[in-house]
Amino acid sequence: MNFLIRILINGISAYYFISFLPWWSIIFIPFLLGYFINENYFNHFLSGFIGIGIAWIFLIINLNSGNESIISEKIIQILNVESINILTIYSSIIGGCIGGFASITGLSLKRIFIKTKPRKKFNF
Amino acid sequence: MKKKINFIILLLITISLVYLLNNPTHNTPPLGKFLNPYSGFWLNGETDQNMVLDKINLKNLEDEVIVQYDSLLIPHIYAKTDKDLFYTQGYLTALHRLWQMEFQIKEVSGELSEIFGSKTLYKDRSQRRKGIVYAAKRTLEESKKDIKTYNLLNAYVDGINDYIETLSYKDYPIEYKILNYKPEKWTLLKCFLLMEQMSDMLSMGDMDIEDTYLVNTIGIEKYNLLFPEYTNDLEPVIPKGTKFNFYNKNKYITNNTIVKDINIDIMNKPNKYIGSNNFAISPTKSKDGSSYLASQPDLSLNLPSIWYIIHLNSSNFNTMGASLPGAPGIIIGFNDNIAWGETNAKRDVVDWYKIEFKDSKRKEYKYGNKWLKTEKIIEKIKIKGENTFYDTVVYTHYGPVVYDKNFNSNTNKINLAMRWIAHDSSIEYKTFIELNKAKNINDIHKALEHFDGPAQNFAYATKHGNIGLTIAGKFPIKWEKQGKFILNGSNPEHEWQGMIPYEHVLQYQNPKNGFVSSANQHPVDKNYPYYYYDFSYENYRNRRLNDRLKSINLITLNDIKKIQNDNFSYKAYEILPILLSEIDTLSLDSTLEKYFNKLSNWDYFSNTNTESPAIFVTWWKIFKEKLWDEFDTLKYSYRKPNSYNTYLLIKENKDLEYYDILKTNKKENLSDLVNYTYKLSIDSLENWKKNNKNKLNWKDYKNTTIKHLLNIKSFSKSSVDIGGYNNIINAASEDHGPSWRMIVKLNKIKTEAWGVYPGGQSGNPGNSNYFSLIDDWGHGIYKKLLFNNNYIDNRKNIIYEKKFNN
Repeated sequence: MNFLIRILINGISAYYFISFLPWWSIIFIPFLLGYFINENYFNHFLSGFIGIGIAWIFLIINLNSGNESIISEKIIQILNVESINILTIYSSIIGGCIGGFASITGLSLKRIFIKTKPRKKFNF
Repeated sequence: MKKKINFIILLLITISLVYLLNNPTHNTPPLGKFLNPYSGFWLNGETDQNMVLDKINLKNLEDEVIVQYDSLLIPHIYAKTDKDLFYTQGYLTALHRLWQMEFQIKEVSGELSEIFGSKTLYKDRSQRRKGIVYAAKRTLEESKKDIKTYNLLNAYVDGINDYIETLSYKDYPIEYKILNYKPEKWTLLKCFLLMEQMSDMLSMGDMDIEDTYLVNTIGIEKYNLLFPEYTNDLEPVIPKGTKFNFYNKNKYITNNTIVKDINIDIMNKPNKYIGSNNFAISPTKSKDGSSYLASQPDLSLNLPSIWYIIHLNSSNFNTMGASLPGAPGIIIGFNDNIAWGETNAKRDVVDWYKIEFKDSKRKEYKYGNKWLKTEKIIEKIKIKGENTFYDTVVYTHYGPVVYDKNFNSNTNKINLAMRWIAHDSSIEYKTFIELNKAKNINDIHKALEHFDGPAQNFAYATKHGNIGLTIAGKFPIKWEKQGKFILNGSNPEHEWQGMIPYEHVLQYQNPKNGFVSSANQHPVDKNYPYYYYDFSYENYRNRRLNDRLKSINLITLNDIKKIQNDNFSYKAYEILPILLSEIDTLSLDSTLEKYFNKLSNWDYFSNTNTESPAIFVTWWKIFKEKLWDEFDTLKYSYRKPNSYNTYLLIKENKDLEYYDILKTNKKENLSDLVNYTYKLSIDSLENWKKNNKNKLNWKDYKNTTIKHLLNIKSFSKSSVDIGGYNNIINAASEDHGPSWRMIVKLNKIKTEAWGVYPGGQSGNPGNSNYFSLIDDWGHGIYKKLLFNNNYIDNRKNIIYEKKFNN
């Protein structure tokens, strides 16, 4: 399936995530995508990373502008981060990494069960 | 096989990533949990108060309750039953202040190490050894006897717990997220622990051990010179010359040998600069013929604020004012008929008894010619990331043996048991609940009988024009000087002689001059038949306050505001002329002369944008350091003479061996010391200026800071624009000050009130209300409080209203 569509699915799943689940439950959608869609590792990591990362950036910008940065401006001083933008990026990298690794973990599980086809170029 | 390994490695990476991000590392909150946009800190920002208030869901009501919030975010509760009223108070207080409520309890009961690890172990041990929890448990048992109060307290507890139950991680106050722990269930014991915390803060300070050590080191004569109990120009709470028509029939003991060999490092003590003022004005002294009550409790300046303002209304109550988060009812406030306010009434209610154990097992101790049994309590202190610490505390009939071979006693011989009035069971809540609905001076008098401590000067005024002041609390009867030094625990004659009966407690009503006042000074002159003592009474703010009240013939609301914000330094007014007269003006260079002239022309008002208060405060501090440098050679805990007595000594003694500066070979006199310390202070001030944009002003130099309880900088407000200082009515020092300014006007038509405090109703640093009142507080701008018996009348001024049913 198309790379962009996977990003979209990951992104939407993270954006409309149900908040009563623990925050790390976001790993399941990228994991399933990794399992069911046969692509290479690099490609999968990227779609998980970008999908979730971008969703988090949007979510955070929404929350933060909704409360006029009233809490984030205080938290960056505690965490010693230069600006709210940088903290937003750090936060999304966290979401992205988790999404990316979940995705390739799904893929690697799938690969145990399928016979390797004639070798593709390994891009990881 | 390779594929399996591949999968396992990736799975492990993902799982450990999630694990790491969901758990804290050293000093950082769990990053994924903290930073994610679903439940992380981003959700703690609150700029729309209605979004917060819409979460209110009162579930366990008996009848209808109406909740309103005004624009200051003060809740107004209109309930049909008292139980619902206190239930709702608990719920709404927790809504804005949950973290603070719980943290205060953790701190006072010695459980901080659960959160912070071993760095707070010493502090926790100190709290445990003082027997705070032991005392609260006794009070809890006692409280069951008064079923009415007990039920109301329980309703309050239920309200808090019903609020806690609605929370999940994403709703937790930000501090829980930063420190990564979660709120626990509230209990009745915690309400009593809060009262113990007040006692710990207000009645714990004593100098018995330090003074015993001092007498042993410098001798009783010098000690009496440096630390007199009385001075000539006292202005006590109860006017001088008041006659008493009763006697203290108890025996007097003179044989008072001082315990030797005291080598103890004392645990941390409350700040002795805590100081407050209150006063009541009778209709004859006010311009509009109303009675007035003004109250200004000066405490540690913290965020979230120690006070939460609330209005409680039911068929029995219509009361408003400052409440303590975690305690039901109003502590300083007013109702339709009366108003009241407290200042701390220090009295020596902590004494230390030297205990003689039979043997090293510490199972028995000597008492007269008998051996009494001890009780051992093992304190379990949980420490984050480490093994639990066990501390055995031995209890005698006096109280816990605080200092022994396990704690701070440097020789195995000394065991000191603490006798503290706060260890006795008490029913303070009854006082407040009765005060909250008191209708006249008789009701007030009855309510105060239940008040055991920490002893307070209660000033009050009624709408019918009565005013009065009662020093309420439980006070032990003592023989002359009893408990000033360490007592002998094996001598039954050293026991407290019972308690002063309530009818002998100090109080007065409707004096001729039309006002009553207090500001932590001596309670009374020597005419009082009972011996009383405290190591540190105020002698500046009280005199200034009374001077102001006497000097104004007919007082207005505006005068009262001015008095509460008065920046006149009585201390500088008395001390500075003496210091300046000793300055050798011929030897001054231009800088020194510039400052000298400034000080000479100062009007003694410590206003925000002046230089003189900074010069005086620095100079006096350095002067005292050098004057009392002889004390620095002492090895164990001691104290130095206070400012007032230092002033008396330098005024009356041109020759005092202490004028000598030990470091030099020369033998200095007063003039040498004054000139030397003057130069030192100007150097220090010039230095400060260099690092601070070359501008010296009092506000920045003093740097009054309202500190978050965790001392997080961005959650605190520093360099607040406010004048005043220690020993000034506007007592805003670096970290202490007027924590609530309240003025109430009462007459037959209505009760009106004004107030302001350094903080905001919301304790959430991410709420736009959090810092909201600080500037107004600093500038002495008051808010008129919304106070109506009927909720309909509030409607023009509210931001939220909702009706709840059972």
